[in-house]
Amino acid sequence: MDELFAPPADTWQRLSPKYATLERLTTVIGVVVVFGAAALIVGAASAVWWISAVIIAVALVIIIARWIVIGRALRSWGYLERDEDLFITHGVLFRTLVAVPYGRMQLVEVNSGPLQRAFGLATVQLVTASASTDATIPGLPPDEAARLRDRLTERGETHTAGI
Amino acid sequence: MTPPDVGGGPLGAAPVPAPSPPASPAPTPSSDERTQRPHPLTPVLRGWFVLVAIGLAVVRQTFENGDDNPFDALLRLGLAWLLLIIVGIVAVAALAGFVSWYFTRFVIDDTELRVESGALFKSSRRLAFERVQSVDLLQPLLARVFGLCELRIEAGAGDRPIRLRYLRRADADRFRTFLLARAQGDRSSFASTENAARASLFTDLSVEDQPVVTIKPQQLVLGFLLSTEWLIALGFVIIALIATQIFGVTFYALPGLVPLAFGAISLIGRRVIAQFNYTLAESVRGLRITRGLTNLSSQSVPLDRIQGLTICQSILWRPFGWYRVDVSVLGYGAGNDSGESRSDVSRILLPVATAEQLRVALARVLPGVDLGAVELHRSPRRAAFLRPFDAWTFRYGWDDRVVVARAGVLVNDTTVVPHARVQSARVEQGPLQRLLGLASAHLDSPKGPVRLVGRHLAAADARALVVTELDRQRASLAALAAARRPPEPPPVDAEVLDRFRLTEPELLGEGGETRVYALGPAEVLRVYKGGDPEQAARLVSQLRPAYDHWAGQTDVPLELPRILDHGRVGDRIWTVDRRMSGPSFSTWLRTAPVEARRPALLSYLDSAFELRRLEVPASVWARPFGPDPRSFPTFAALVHDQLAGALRRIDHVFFPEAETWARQVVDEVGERVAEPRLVHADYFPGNTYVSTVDGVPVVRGVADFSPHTLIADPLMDVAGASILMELEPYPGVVEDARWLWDVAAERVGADEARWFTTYRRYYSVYFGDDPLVVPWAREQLAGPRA
Repeated sequence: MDELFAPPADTWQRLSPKYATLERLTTVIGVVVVFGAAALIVGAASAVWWISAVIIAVALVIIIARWIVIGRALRSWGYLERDEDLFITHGVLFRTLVAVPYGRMQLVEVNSGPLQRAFGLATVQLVTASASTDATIPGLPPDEAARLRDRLTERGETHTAGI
Repeated sequence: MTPPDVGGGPLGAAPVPAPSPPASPAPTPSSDERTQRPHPLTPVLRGWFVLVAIGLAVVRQTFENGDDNPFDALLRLGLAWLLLIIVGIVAVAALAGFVSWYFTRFVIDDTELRVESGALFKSSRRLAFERVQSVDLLQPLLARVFGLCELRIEAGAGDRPIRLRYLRRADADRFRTFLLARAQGDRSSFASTENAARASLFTDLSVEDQPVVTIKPQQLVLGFLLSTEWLIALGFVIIALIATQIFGVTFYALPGLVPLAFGAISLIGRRVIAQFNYTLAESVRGLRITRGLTNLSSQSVPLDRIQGLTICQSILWRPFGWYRVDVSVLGYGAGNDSGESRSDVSRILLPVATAEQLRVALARVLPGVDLGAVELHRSPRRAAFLRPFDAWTFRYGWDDRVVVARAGVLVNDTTVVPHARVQSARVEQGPLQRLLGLASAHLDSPKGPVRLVGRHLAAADARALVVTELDRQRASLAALAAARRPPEPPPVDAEVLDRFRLTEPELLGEGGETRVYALGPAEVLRVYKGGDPEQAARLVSQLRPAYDHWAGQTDVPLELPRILDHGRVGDRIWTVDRRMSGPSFSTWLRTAPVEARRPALLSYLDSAFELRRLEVPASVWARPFGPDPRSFPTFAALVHDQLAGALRRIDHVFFPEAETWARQVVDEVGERVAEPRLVHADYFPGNTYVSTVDGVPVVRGVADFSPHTLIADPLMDVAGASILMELEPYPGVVEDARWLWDVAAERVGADEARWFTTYRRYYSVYFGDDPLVVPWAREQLAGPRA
């Protein structure tokens, strides 16, 4: 972790490792569905069976690459609650560090889709008046997500600054 | 076709207990509730496109009738049906429009504005006065033709604006005045708006509004023709035309060309027609922008909702030193739930402004921010690897109020965002930036044209900017909160008063430049207001010897000011003056018995005749006091110089005839033969003092010689005595002034008296830079007294 994206104090809070598992699973499912179907159709419909082999090989490469990247992406995520603001960092190739003052939060959303629920994960999103504020923390355990939501809401109320 | 858009439509609105059916449209003046119906023409204006459709259909019908082949006859039958359908639609639309109009009410009561509408599903939209953010007045061309306008009331971010349409212009003015007053917490009644100053039909400015920036049409048009957007759009169209001509496919390319041309035309619409007659004015209720050639729009500038601005200068504007300013206003960027875009709200704060106009406008929009003083840092040179053509223009910097970023070669954008408005701060770094040790800093703002990005900074600087931005924001918000607390009355001139140990200063009077406090029975303390202390010191050093000299002229029966002492505390200039022996004539006139007024006025006129006997250093045409004392070869040259100075300050939108009259005055005084003598040139009751001689009030005191004072035709004061007197506020002043004019005319003789008219024009133009004087001045010029 280089200096530019180091936490302003203490250490980053990390996401649940299950987030990587979930991401990997969705990647595998997605790739298998798309490429598998393509390989099947090509293999069944024509004599050029080796095209199917190429498609499967490509799929494998994609899965392996994503597997590695997802691991790094998980480690790149971090968030830190400070007294008056929240810092979030993420990104492997294109990296971001965003700081949101509690006083600017308009609402805090907690989302959890069916797959996320199956893995016991939830996403917390902070909304400000600016659409370009990119303050989303995926892959939190539901307890942590609820705690974070309550805490952010409470701090938002005490720091409300208007717009 | 004309859905009732107030109230959110039948489905969205909760049915409220139906108010009693509309009985009488008349307002009920007995309570403080006022009901206003939209103007009866409203359905027509809102459904005008239906009328256009009918018109088109009729036109086509008549054309078709000319031919007589079977195919056309068939078509005609179809058209007849079509026409019938159209007529049906029109009838339904007209009925809907009428019903919607019939059931719509705008109600103002003690605490809120209510819009009631809907025939079957009653809906009532309420807005508490405190929540009114801004009130805009809009006049689409058609409504303008009928003298109607729409009021649009913003109620805070995210809420749909309330639209009152259409009202008569005078009603709309009163509604606006009232709503803005109430929004600011004034508990004025609606009836009191009856006497409010009326706004001009063309500029929507009333005499109480002070224009700050006006943009001349030639500047607007030239600026537009040289703007990058226009040249690019024009270039596209021309290149496309030429290219298609060469290949001979223009006809087939039309579907592509027409939208291009439309784009260019709509650019003209937005940048020229919509911005025509641009005026930024300061009114009692805040800043207001008025503009539009065909559609008039008068928009308040909600200062506390401005999220940031961008000052753009395209490369062709640089020789002229022109700028355009775009602004992000909270709520204007976002569409709202009815799907209406806010494209009708212009995001252009200044369409094309000179550096001076820019400075003046910014001082109003971002008070206390000096952009020139913000220290700007360059992005490192290695940023040129990523942006070879414009990396050298990248700048960023901040002070305690704002963050500034600048970039661009063809169009140089300076983005300014107040710390207090930053929503969040980001550092972004891509792989190439990482290799070069660079990163970009983004400060996020609500949706709008303003995006602040510090491009390709050194990584450590980007991080420092982002992390410390939050601290600057906290400090800035704390300062704002402190400023919002009810301020203690400012200790006016405190330092000077301290020096004289005046703990409970008694303010005797206040003029344009000075405040006067009682210092003792025989002395007053005069403190020059802010502004340039050097100029004030200079004026004092010019006046003091003159007063001293005149004090030696015991044969002139005038009581003149003396400066006994003067000095400077901090940047305030003060003088200790001799106290005039009585009250100001202006104050005296307000309470004086009628029968005492005329004799006093005679002595006031006498004193005007005496002024010419005060000795001046040399008998030359001159302006003896002020920042630029000068003498002139002829009387006309002096008058020309005086009026030229006034014309520079006059707002010509308000007072367009000033220039013509000024020229005429200069022409006329060219024939005047007179000896140059001292002329007070601001001789009016406010500058004269009453003393009591043998129980009779006599005007002997003349004070406040100033940069207005001249060495010129002494008749000017004699004329001025009655001319300037008309601005006194007491009842009966017009008759008194007229009488005094006649007395003065009789005294000087008819030959001399004809010059009074010339000097009336002189004063009208000379003092015409004061918006409060303009109506009077125009009246003076319009109807010269017989």
